[in-house]
Amino acid sequence: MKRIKRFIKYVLLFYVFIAFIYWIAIRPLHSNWGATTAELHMQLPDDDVISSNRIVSTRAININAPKEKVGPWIAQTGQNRGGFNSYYWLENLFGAMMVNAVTIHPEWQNPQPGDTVYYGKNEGYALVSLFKPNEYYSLSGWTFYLQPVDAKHTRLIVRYPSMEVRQSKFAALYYYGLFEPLHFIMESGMMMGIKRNAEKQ
Amino acid sequence: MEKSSSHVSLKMVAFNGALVAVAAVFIYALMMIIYTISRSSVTIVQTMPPSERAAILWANGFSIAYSIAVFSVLMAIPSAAAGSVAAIMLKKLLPYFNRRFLFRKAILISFVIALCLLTIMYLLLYSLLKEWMTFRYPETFLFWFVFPAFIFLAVCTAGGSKINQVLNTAYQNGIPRQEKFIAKEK
Repeated sequence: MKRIKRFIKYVLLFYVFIAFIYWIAIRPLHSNWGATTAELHMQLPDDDVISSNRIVSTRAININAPKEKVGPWIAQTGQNRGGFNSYYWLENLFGAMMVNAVTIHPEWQNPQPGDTVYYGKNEGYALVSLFKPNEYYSLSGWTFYLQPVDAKHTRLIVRYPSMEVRQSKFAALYYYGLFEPLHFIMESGMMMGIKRNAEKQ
Repeated sequence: MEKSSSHVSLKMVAFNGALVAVAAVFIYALMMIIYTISRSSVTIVQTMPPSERAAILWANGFSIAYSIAVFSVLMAIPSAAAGSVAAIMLKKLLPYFNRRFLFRKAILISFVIALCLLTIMYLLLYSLLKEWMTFRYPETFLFWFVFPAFIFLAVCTAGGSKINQVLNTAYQNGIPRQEKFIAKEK
C-alpha cells in the first residue's frame, strides 16, 4: 500500500505542477492564440450580442489560401452538417457521433440565420445568427471572420464569448476548471482543420 | 479450529480499496493524457509551419493535461466509493467461500465478485444514462465503460488475492490479539 500511496502523492504533485504552469503561462497564451493586438480590439460582426458577463477570447491563424477556399469549410460547420473540422476522435469519446466532411458539400453552403447547428448527436446546439459567404459566420457571437491578407493568403479570426461566468460561481468553476481548456483544444483544432482543408484544395 | 479474520479492520480494508481505486483512475488518466497529447500533436505538426508550432504544442499539451487532471480528480471521488465497497465485499466474502484461503480459488472468487459488482454498477448507470450507454457509439462505449471495466476487474482480482494473502497470514499467526485479550479477561 505504501507504493500506491506514493504513486497517488506523485500524481497529485504532477497535477499541481500542470495546473500551476497552465494558469501562469498557458492560459494567457491560449486566450488570444495567434491574434495580433489590432485583431484583439477589432470590431467583428455580432460583437454587439456579447454581454459583459462573458469572457471573450480572440484567436487567429494564417491560411495559405484565398478566402473563397476557406469560407466553404466554415459554412458547413455542425455535427448535422460537415462536422467541426476538429479532433473528431476526441469529440466522439463524448458520444458526439462527429464525422468531418472531406469535401465541400454544396447543400450546406447557404446557412440561414436561425438554422440549427448541433455540437454533437443529442447534444447542445446553437443558432446561426449571421452569415455572409466567404466573409463571416456567427453562432450567437461565436464568430468566424475571414480577412484577406493578399490574393493567396487569409487570416481566420475567431472570437468566442464564454458562458455567463461572471454571474455565477458554479458556472465560473465549471468554465475555468474544464470548459475553457477543452474549448481551446477543440477550437484551435478546428482552426487548424479549416487551414488544412483549405490549403489542400 | 474455525478460521477468523476479524482482526483485519474493515475500515482499513475500505480505505485501502479506495486508495487502489483512486490509483487506478490516475493510471487511466495518465494513459489518456499521453494518448490525447500524442495524437493531437501529430495533427499540429502536420498542419502548422515550424515557426508557429512551439506555442500551440505547449498550449495544447498543457490544456489537455490540465483538463484530464481536473476530470480525473472528480472521477476519483465516486471511484473511491466503488473501491471501498468492492474491498469490503471481497473481505467479507472471501473467507466465506474460500475457508482454506487457496490462492487460485481466491482469484476466481475475486473475479466473480468483481463481475457481479460491475454488473450491478452498470445496471445502475444504464438506468440513469439510458441511450448514452449503448454500442451505437463505439468510441464512447470503449472509453467510458469497456476499458474502466477491464481495469476494475483486474484491480479487484489482484486486490482480492492480496486480501486473501493477508487473511491467510493472519490465520497462520493464530488467534487475533483482540480475541486473546477477550479470552484472558474471561
